[in-house]
Amino acid sequence: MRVGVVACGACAVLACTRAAPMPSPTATATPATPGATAVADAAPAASPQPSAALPGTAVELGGRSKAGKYTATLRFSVPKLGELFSTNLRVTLASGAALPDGATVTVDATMPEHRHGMMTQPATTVAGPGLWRTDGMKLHMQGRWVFAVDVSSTAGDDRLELPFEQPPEATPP
Amino acid sequence: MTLPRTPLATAALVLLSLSAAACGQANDTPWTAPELRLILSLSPPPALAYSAGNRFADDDRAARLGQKLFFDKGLSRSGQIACATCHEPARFFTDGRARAKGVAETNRNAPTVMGTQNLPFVFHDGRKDSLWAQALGPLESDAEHAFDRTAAARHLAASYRTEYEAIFGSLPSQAEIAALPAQARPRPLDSTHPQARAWAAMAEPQRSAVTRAFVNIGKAIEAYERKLLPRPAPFDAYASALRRGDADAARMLDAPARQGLRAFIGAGGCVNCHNGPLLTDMAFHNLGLPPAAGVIGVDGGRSVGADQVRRDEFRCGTQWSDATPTAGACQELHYLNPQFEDFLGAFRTPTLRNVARTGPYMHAGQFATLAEVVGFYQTLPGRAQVGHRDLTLQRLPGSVQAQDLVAFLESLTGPLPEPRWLDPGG
Repeated sequence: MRVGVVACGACAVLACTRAAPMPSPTATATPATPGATAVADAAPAASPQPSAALPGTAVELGGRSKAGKYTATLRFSVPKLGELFSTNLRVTLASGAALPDGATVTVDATMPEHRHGMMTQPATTVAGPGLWRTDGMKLHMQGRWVFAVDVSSTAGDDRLELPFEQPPEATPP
Repeated sequence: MTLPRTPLATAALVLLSLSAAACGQANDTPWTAPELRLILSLSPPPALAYSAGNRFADDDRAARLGQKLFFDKGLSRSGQIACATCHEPARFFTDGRARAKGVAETNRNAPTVMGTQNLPFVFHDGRKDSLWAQALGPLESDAEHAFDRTAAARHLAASYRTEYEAIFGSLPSQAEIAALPAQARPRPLDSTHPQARAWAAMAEPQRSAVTRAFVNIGKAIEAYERKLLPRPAPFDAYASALRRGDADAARMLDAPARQGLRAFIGAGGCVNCHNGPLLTDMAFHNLGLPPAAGVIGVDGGRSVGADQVRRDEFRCGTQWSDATPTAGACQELHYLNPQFEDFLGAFRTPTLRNVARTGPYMHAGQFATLAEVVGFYQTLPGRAQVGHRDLTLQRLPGSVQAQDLVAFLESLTGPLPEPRWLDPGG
């Protein structure tokens, strides 16, 4: 019993000091996770992962579209929470060949766990052969978002879903 | 259970109790790294954002003029209503009423001014995109100041000509002011109103000169309101201690407030929308609130406000704004999605800074106390009056103690702004 009481006191001290240190979020960008993402029921919000990159970190998400028609890479700087940001997108056929003329692309973002999307209306414009720029994106909630890249061309319609963890920082940490 | 009364046991109990005192509560679970990151993302209160549409926003002379105008009942038709009537400094710039009352009672609660400085859209429905444009709305609202543009220009010229002209340049001359109609203003929804007819009968240079003076009233008031940022609260002292690794951080916040914080960022999910250092996502949500007593009809909220702000006379990029759209200054307005389906019946997430002092709560003052607000989130009764309840919303789990959440919310109360900004000034 005595030992138990002493150990408990020590635990309390330990708890106190363990709470204090700063987290050290990694500066590595969220890794690209290609492929389809499950749409869950309204699950409780998950806390941001410790690995969520800090605002300003360069991110590159990419992979192959669901039906395997296209390959795409989405690049942007991790936005501050609730701040407008832009993305740059490169799309090719899955073979690596250039897209057929007249291909169109849209970029959107949703939070499947919360069943909502962005409150803004982004605009996607051609930035070069196989390149698109999207302005007016805004992620107003921290946590898991999924970028949806829809590509349409004579090769067919297909979609990439690219998960991304929005960090909670709205101001520079 | 009875402990053996031996010297060692006594020492152990003392150690336990000292440890408990040091931590505030011995059985606190340490914050995980994600939790700590979330906590630190909420603090300290933010610095002022750049005000692109108002080149006088950080001019102290404009702030001092705006301060006088904020408290000036002469800016109302009855001579009885000032901005400060509904935004009383001692009440953290609210009025303590469920719904604001100027000349008549309005359909909305008067939100605090403190913490609105950095918002991309203001009013509960976000129908204005700057603080200066917002300040002009109540002046011409028939339920609030019930004033008009020519009367405002006349009052400005009679009471503030020297100060005004030192900041903004010339006002119309005394002769030009004397030639203005007694009461004139645009009324896009009621062109047959005598004030609208009088406005339409004015020459364009007259209308422009009067509107310029009117706009600068708003810009001076914004310059003043930028002095009213929220100040650090006990929660910020706690977050600051955590940030610097202070082992005694828990001394800064009592145990119920820390438990409330744990629920706020965790099981309660409050931080989903009350995020960032103002504890608001600056976005719009439909909570499925009960109807407000005495309010007839339903309030479309953001679905109406989003449309209004895109057509607003004083929006970003108009001749009255100092922002240059080509320089990327009006992006929030440009990328606003007025058709966003979840805007129906949605209202702006309020800042929670100083929230314990700014009740009643919600856009129409539906709840008198924070306990009532938490009670609503515990049960989420009924259905939305219009649109649908935000799908993000879940009932608070039973593990969340209401009194803890309230204790945390109370820890967000900081001091009022500097005393020199709390009265009409010299």
